[in-house]
Amino acid sequence: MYKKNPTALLSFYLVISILILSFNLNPSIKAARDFLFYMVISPYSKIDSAIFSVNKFGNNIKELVDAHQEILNLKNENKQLLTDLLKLKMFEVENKRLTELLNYKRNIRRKVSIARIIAKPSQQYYKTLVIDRGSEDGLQENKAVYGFYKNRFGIIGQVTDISKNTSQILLITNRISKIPGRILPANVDGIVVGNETNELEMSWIPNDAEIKIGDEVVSSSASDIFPTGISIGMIVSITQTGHLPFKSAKVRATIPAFQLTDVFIE
Amino acid sequence: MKKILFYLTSIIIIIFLEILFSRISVLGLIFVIFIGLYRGSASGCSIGFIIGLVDGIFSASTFGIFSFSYAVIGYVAGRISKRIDEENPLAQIIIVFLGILLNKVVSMILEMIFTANKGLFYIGWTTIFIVLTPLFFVIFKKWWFKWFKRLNVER
Repeated sequence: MYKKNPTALLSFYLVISILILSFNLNPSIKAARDFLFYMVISPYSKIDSAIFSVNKFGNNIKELVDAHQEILNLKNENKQLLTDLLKLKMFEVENKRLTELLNYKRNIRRKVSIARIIAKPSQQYYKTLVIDRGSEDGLQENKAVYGFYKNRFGIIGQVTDISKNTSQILLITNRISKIPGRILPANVDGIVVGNETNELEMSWIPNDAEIKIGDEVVSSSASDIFPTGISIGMIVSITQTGHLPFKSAKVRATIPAFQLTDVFIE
Repeated sequence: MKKILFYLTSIIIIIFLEILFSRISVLGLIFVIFIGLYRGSASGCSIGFIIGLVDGIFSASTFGIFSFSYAVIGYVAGRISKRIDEENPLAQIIIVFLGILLNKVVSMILEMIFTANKGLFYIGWTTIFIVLTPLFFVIFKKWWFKWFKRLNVER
């Protein structure tokens, strides 16, 4: 009957709707609404929660991988920074040393130039050094070479072989090195001979000379190469030979040449 | 009996989809118009009334408004099916658009009458989904043919 008369059916629905509206059933259907929402949303929220968990797990793995990569990058960066820091420290030490050298060079009255030690041959440890100055720099043979170590200035040797850009220094600790020395304050002369250790041998000291351990040995005026009064070392022991009119002494060199990086050349 | 089961299943699916995907909240209305166009005024207003009631439960608006407006829209869709070509996608889009407008107007008036609230005429951007009306119609048809052999158009 209703299919034949849809207008009547519509009127019926409209009347019902108006009745529903008139009675304001909103508070009454709230419980039904909550229940239905729970029924519909509950499984959905569980699925959503599962998807969220999987997604979160994926994100966690991604974050872990990213963090690992970041750690590797930071480690590399740290290595680079440590290397740079080391370089900076080396530069700082070098700068300090060069500043000291320059200050010292200004204070000494002699006209000297600075050369860098470029080789310390292992078999020639107490014998020779090689420096980075040669004939092109105006260097000549038999020039005195000095060193500066812990605020002390002293003789370390003399220039021997010269090539175009490098030169060899014969150290005073070499056995073939013989230089005239004077013991202060006794003003007694002798010959300082190398011993291929840091201790030199000073011989030809008159038996009656009043010397003692701790006296300073400087270059003597008898030397053609070394100017007078430059420190060579300090007496550490004295040897008496009863049957000879001379005695000898062990002298510790003022400058340990093997610890130097730069030298002064006359 | 089969028809009741079909409508019941369809309504449950549509309401479920509307709740889960709030952006296609016009799906119920499109289904009402589809039934109105292809099954006539009686079926249109009946399904409109039922879907309106269920939508009223889940929506924030006053209970009873959707049942009223959806029933009217289902009835009107059944009436105008005699005058238009319901297979034309453009016609489907226009009818659904007009249906949404009618729903908004009727809802606003009823809100003003029964709740003394000033109605707000607002068509959300979600109504852009009406351009998908032909697609929804095709889906509804396929769904119908899963249950029945032919879609009787009562003219």
